[in-house]
Amino acid sequence: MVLSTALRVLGSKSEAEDIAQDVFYRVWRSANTLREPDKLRSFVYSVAMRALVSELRCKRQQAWLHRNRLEPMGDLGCEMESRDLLRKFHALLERLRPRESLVFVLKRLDAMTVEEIAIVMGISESTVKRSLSRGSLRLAHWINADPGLAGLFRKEEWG
Amino acid sequence: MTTTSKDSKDSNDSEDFRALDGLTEFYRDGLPQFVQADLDRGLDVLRARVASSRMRRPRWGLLRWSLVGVGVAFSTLVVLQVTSVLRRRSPEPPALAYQVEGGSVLKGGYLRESGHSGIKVLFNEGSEFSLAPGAHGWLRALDEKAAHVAIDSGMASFHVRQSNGRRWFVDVGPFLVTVKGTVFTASWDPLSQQFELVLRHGHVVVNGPLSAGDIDLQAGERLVVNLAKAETLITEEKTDEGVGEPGVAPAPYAATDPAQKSADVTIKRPLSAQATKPFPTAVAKTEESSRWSDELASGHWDRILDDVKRIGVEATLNKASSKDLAVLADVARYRRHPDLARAALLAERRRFPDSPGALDATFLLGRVEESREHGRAQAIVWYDEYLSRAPKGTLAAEALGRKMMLTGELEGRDQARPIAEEYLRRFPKGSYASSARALEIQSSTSAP
Repeated sequence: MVLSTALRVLGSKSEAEDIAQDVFYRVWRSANTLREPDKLRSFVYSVAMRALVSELRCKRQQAWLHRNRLEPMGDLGCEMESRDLLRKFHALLERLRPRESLVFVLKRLDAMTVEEIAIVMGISESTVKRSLSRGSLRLAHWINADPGLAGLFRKEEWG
Repeated sequence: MTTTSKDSKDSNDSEDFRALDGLTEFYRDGLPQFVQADLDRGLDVLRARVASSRMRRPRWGLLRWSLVGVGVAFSTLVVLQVTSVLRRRSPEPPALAYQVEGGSVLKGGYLRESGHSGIKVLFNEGSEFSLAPGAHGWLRALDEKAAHVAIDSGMASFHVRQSNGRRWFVDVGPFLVTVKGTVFTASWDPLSQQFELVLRHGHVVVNGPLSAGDIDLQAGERLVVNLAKAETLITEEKTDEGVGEPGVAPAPYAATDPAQKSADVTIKRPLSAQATKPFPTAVAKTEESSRWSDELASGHWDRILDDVKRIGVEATLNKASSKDLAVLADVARYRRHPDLARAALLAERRRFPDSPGALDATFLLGRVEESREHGRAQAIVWYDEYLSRAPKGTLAAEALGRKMMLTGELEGRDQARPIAEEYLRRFPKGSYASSARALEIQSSTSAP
């Protein structure tokens, strides 16, 4: 659960593994603060969200300051063409603000409900909806501005 | 990069969202799934970080704690004056909270297993207990002053931390175990009417239908009471691994695993003689934790790799201590440098051939080979060597389980079946028991 979300957000298997290990280590360190066992899933997810937001912000800063970070999708081991497409979409996800990117991934890729997202991210449901809408609009706009991408998906039916 | 209102309006058109939908779906399905080896490696990392952080001693806090200490001492003087009138009141421990893994708590505190791998209950004060698969137990009462757990049948392992005077009681069948802060395994079999308790740390008092009254057990002792045969036996338990690290929960059920039992330890002591021989304690660790261990625990793996680059790989392999070689091997595995991990493990075996680290290195070489593209056959060779050198070693169950899985993958189920049978015979409650049973069933159904 945490691993797949981290992979979708960060676009790198090794980075996702690092984040997941950090998350579970933090959960282990703070497990004694958990009073309600039923909320363990939300607890783990909220720790993961904080870690991911922090990581995304860090990556944005690094990209802005150095522009020399590792290229994502390098360790996925899939076909070159697929990897190019995945990389393009991930690059678009990275252009979103961290919160928009996370909300988009949780809603559209992890199929979480708005209510669940609001709980794990510690924000209101209206903020979730607003972030999702804004993120989707931006992504659609950027995709449609790329003739190759837009053309590819107009010609073929997916799903 | 800003999206104008016109853009937004245009993007609301379904045609414009089609590409986004398609790409989203492709992205979701196109990313690879994590396989068991990835998860295993992640668990290894977590275990190492948890174990290292438990061993680590705080270094940075001396000055800070000194200042805090002065402040606390001053505050305490003031507070003592105010609270002196309330001295007769004993401080109440915080409320006991818990979480359950592998099951749920039903009304009345009954613990229901959700799968077939047992239930674990973790408390906020640091105590925990595990029910073996198929065991039945329940939480009788949990409050500020006491925790009362009952085991109706099957086996359970406990790691109880003393905190703020809270008392722990465990009903195991007709026996009551009063816990003083300890690590132990207890079981009750209603059919044979046998009670068994293996105490690893601390001490407990066992109360029940015993001919000689209450029994005060010391660390390292095993108590077996068979009501049907009217037998009560206390033996000293000597295991390969000693008593273990204080503060670390035992591997669940390991003490009563047939393959882990010591074969020739039956020093019966009379029930009237409560004084017992001190159990040989584990060798105290006097060695200061190395910086690499700290870096490993903190997740600063790249600093260790930077050190190796600076010192040189060959020099490191030839001069590093056994412990540092083990740390280096772990870091290299976690960072997916199998060649470096293998070199560190081979150096461990070559330079410290008789150390426990060399034995672990043999097993870990198998894990490293598994992560290589064509290394599974070689991994089996390493697991075989581990099993031949330490058939009752702490990693024997894992080595045999991995060997079984790899043999199944490489040579087919029929070849793996004898290994599965051996695994089930030696480790019927091991983590690969389900896979072994599945192999047995698949193999027998596919046979003509």
